[in-house]
Amino acid sequence: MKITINRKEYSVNEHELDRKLLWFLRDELGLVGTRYGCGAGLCGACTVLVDGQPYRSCITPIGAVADGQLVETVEGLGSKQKLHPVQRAFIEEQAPQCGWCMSGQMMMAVSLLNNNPTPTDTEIEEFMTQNYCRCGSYNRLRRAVKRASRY
Amino acid sequence: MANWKKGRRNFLISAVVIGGSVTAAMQFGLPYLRRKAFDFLSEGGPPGGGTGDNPALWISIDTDNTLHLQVPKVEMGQGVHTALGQIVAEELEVSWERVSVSQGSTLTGPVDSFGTGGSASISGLYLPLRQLTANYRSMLITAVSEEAGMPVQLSKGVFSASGKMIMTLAEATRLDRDWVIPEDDAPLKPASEFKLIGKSVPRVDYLDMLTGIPHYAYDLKSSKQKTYYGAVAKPPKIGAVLENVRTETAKQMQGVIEVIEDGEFVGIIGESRESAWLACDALDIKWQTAETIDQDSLDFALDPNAKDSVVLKKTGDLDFVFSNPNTIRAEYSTPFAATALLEPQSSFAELIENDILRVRTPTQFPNTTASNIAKRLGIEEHKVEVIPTYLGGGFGRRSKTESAIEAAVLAYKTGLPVHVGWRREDEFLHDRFRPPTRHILHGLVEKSGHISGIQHLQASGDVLLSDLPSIAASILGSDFGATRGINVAYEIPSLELRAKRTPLPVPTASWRGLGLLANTFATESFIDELAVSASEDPLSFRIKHLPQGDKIRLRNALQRVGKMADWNRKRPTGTGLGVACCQDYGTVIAQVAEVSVESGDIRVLHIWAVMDCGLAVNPDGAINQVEGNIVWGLGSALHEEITFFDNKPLAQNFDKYPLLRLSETPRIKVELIQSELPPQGVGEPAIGPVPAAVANAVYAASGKRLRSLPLRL
Ligand code: FES
Ligand code: FES
Repeated sequence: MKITINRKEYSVNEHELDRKLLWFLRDELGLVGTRYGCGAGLCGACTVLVDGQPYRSCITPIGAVADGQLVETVEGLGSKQKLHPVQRAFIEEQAPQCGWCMSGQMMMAVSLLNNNPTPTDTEIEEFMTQNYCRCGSYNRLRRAVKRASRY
Repeated sequence: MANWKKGRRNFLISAVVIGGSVTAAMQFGLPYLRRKAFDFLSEGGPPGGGTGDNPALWISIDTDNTLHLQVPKVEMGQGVHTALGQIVAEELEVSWERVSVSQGSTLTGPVDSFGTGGSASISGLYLPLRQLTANYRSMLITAVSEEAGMPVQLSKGVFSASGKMIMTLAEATRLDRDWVIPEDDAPLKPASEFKLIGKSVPRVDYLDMLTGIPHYAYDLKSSKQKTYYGAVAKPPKIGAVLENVRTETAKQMQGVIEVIEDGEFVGIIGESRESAWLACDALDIKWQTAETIDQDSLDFALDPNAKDSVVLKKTGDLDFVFSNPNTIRAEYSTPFAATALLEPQSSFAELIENDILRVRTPTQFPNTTASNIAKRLGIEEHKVEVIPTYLGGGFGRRSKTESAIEAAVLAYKTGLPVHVGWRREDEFLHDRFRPPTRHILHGLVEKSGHISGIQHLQASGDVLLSDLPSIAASILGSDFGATRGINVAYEIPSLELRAKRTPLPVPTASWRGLGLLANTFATESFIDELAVSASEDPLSFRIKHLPQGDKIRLRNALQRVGKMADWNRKRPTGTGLGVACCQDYGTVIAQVAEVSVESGDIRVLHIWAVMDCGLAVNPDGAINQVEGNIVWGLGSALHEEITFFDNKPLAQNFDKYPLLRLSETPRIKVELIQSELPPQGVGEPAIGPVPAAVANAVYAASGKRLRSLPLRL
């Protein structure tokens, strides 16, 4: 079977379809930008986009996204040379502390802005609150998402 | 570069208290010594480490004239790499775009016998590192001047004389000559000429972090060959010991390469992470549990009234307080808390050339980790290289990295490159928790509106003593981590502080700020109660007890935060303001919380904070730290609590241990007072006042005084 990640096709073995997407991305493909925080769908560190919607890859079996869906990870957002507007906004606001939650936060922001390019403060708040940041960068995350919506 | 003279300066700060203490104890008696030790430890602060005097260990200039700085301090989000980069680039006249910072290891780069913690990195290194760099600059200027036959200046990475470029920094460092460290220190750059220190330059480490480039311990694998995944059996209950193990089932499982048994150590090496975990769970192990641990027995253990508590400070006499009917008495408590760093710990170990075992691990204390590994394997220390990785959160938990030993054993026994990653459940079950505390306070306010006496009796689980040799415990008597923040900044004629150290059967250790949060919660709630008892305004009551002189900085911070919060403006019913402040070593911070209490719910609407941390090398970075501390403090004020049942914490994941969320985060406004002092700590102080400010605001909003964390109406 095939799975499409960041516009590239990868093949997966039949017996791997139950494997969680998170570990396939990280340990198999080396796409380590998708982070692990809880393994139980509780923290959002592992958020990727599947057809534009946020999915928690730690509880998503590969089989659930191997049917022609488009999976996007932080590696697909932008490169160091050509950053995605959300990455730029996160840097402009100097949002990260340890940074471990930030891929998940950015994927959430991208999905929010794709569906709603000009979210209100309350909409940002309600959407972004699903992800944890242990370092407590929340104040800056609010500003960063707002800023990205203006780019 | 050749010909470095070595060892001119020495910043050995090790066992000052412990080393010199035994004789002093005999001379002056233990109680005297303990009070002295408390003064020393509560004012001096933890050591930040030194630089040695060889700039080549820290600084190199690439051919493209980029300043490359290798540092021993570990980055965990606190911005230490950025701030150290600013310090060196400033003294070496390099522009910010041309700075890169990387992590040294225990075998390469500068030596750091202490480690990273206690908010001490910048305060400890600020002057030594500037001096080291200034000396280097002066050596380079001398060299280029001699080469050019005339005096030269250095600016923006280029040496020039009368407007003509002579050579670049990169070229100068490559001049073929004997480099001799000057006998006398070169002058430091005057603060009035600073271009980088004190400026909010952007962090140096965001690009890799935000583009998914391997950056953290959990991201690592072998660059040369297939990486294997390890999992090591851990007791399912605290205190359990392995009695025997049957490995047949695990060995047969798919993807299992090897099962390693070594005394009480049983570990799996698997093809994939999941196969290692599965097989590890399938090990048939008989565990022997020692004593039963449950919440009641733990709660019962803490007794602030214990007769053998240690006197930390005693000024004046307190009898008049206890005999006065107007004396206020209050008890406060704080629970166990988890560290819950978002990146679970992991380590990657591999054998490299010369039989060196290289371990990449997220540790705050690389040298200790290296020597623990060497000891465990029975090999020499120089055969182990520990490279600290970028940390997905530190906050004290990474003072011990158990996975480093696990990966080291598996890799050493098999010769395979092995990555061992902990699961979230491991993190909760095998955390080193913030210990619980109990506090009993007595205090009296005179008719004049002044506090005449306070007694604070505190009992806490261990923070630092459990990790120190037992001689330290018997000399100190109390745990100087647990008593952090217990000192009272206010001027009070009679003051007694006592602490009862209470080792507990569950592991307790460093948690952000150590005792600062608990002790400030107790003291600053109590000050509020005293103010209320005397019908005084809590803000001016505090200010009144901070006379001019050395208390002026805290006084200023309080006044300024009062203005920011518009303290005197009346808030609607059900909404209230609370103030709290603390001094943590050289940093002072004051905060006001605005809280609304509605149908049993506490909602924090605003936090204003003013911090004076001396010179902030990177003001925006310092503000980011304050914001983070406020979120941590709010988590503790509103949610965080670990309870034990049947030798286990009830929480195994975030469902039972919720962290503060974005939607619960108030609007936060932070201002810094830039003072003349050199840099002081910023990574922890701001956590201190948060729970007290919120509890005091809850009182103002509802008339309910909440005295234990988390705050529940
Ligand atoms: S790791 Fe997937 S939600 Fe936490
Ligand atoms: S920046 Fe550390 S968890 Fe968000």
